[in-house]
Amino acid sequence: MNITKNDLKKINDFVWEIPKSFRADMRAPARIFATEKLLEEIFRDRSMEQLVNVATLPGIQKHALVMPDAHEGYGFPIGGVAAMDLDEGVISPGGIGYDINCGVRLLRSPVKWFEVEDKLEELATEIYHAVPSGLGRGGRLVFDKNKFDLMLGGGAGYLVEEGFGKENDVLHLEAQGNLSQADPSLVSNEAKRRGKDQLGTLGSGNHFLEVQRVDEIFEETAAKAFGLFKDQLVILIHTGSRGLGHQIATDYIRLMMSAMPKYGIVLPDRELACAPFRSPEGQKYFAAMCAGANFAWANRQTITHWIRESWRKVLGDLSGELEIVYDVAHNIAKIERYKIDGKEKELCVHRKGATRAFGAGNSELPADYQSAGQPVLIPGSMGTASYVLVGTNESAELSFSTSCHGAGRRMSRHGAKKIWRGSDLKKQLEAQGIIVRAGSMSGLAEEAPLAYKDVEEVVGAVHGAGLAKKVARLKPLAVIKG
Amino acid sequence: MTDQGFEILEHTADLRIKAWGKTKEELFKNALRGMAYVQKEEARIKKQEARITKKIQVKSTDMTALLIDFLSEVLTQSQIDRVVFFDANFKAFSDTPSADSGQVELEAEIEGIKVDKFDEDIKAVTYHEAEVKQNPEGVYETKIVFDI
Repeated sequence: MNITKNDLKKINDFVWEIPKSFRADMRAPARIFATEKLLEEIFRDRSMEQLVNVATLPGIQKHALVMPDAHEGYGFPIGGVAAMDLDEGVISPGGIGYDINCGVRLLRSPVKWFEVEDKLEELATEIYHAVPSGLGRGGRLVFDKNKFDLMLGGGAGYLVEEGFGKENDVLHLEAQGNLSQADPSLVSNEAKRRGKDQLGTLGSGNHFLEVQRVDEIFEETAAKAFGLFKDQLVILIHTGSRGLGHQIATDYIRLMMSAMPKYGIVLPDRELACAPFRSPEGQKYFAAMCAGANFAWANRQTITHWIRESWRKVLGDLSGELEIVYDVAHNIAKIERYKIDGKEKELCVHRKGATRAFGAGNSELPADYQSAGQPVLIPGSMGTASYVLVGTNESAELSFSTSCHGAGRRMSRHGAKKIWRGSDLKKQLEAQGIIVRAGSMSGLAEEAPLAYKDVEEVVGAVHGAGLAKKVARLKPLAVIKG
Repeated sequence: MTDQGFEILEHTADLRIKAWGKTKEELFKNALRGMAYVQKEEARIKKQEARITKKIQVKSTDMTALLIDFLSEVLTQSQIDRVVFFDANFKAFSDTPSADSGQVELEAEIEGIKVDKFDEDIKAVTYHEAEVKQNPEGVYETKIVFDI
């Protein structure tokens, strides 16, 4: 059944609803956070149909949701959010995605970008060499079996123990960079072998590092709490759990497909494969997924360490230290508490291409962010702008404390490659004064800015809907890609 | 349709291919070639390179799942050893569920070459939109979406 705009009920300028009556197998209504303009774009692919499919999952609470950067995925749409009852609901690896804990970390320097302008080329080159893509040679850090498991169990904190960071680094990471429910013994040997030499590697696709400048501050108080100021040089890291996470997802989707008949679960798309959260399959996947998430935090911690080394090497001690602003996961399932029908209960919140956005006062936030709220990091498309937002308390009611995760694609990678050549794109970026260090020109073409939605429009929708508020806009100085 | 047995189609974020073959085995081989082409466009040209072979066994609930699980298994081996596998010889290929397990299964020797670097880092082979079926001309075909 094709969905058209006529099937939607307008709740307000930023919220649209597909009623439960739209399709007989829906267990909850579906809501789309978007401006009218973004809605038009979302209708160009099959995101809506995929969102309706998500609304059929057992145990779904309130609404199946999709963020303004929505686009077609497989199973869940990208930008999809679904919160499940722990006793009657399911956990679906497809609702997290293959890149478990793909996420973003922002580092801040104490300097203004023009104070180190003459060193930027060298810094970009140094970082490009320090952080391998992992498509060719492996990473520079390989743990033995024992340490690898300790890392899967300990996340970013384990890397700090191993000398890859400062003790207080973990305070400014979502979940402090470690999900304690992780069980490394439930991660297959294949997954461990895929991840063995991938710690501290960036990967390909939309993963990147950017040296950026703070272009504009929208909210002074929150910016101050996050240590951000105008013209500041900051560095953004966007990567995930690499082959280890991909293999965990592959292994468990397969397991769940064979287990579904046992639980009488019938789904409109195999990629939604799931099992009851409390079932052995559900619990095993959750513990393995947590280990995958820990790997991703360890990965971003390792990369942080090498960027800090590059920073010191190029700029010496005079330019101070790089500190972590925050680190968010945008492909993950978390156990969080929300009010449902007036009663608070624990739910399994799936976020696939969506970012948690806690408001002020949430007990998980570090002391210095308590009065501001959680930093929400939104990487824009390559060479455009990225955003720092801050979570709100009203988002708990609206979206299970969730915001968007990026600009959102609107054109296929293949299509982008047909239109743009990487070398031309490099020239265009360089003409704007942006330094480019990329391993693959076709990889660069796939990420052409016009292949994405307008990040300003996406962030505007999130801000307008009250899911998160704008704090700062970041503009690129150097783009580093695998 | 070209004679290479697969073609690259459009997908917003990921990579979708169509593969076909006169027999199921041929479809599986062509899908494997499609995946190899995505991983490394020139994988088949370098004939002088030393071949690497590996034996794999896959069991699944039905023919579509068997194809996806087969490609997933090849991808896993490919990623671990940094080898692009572009051919397979099937030692066993049962397309009716076995009486004991109720599953379809295959045994294959896959063949490939070591690469310095992949062009594309395929994260996973998804079940999304995959459905092995015969078209009116009797050719087996399916779409396959790769997460990249």
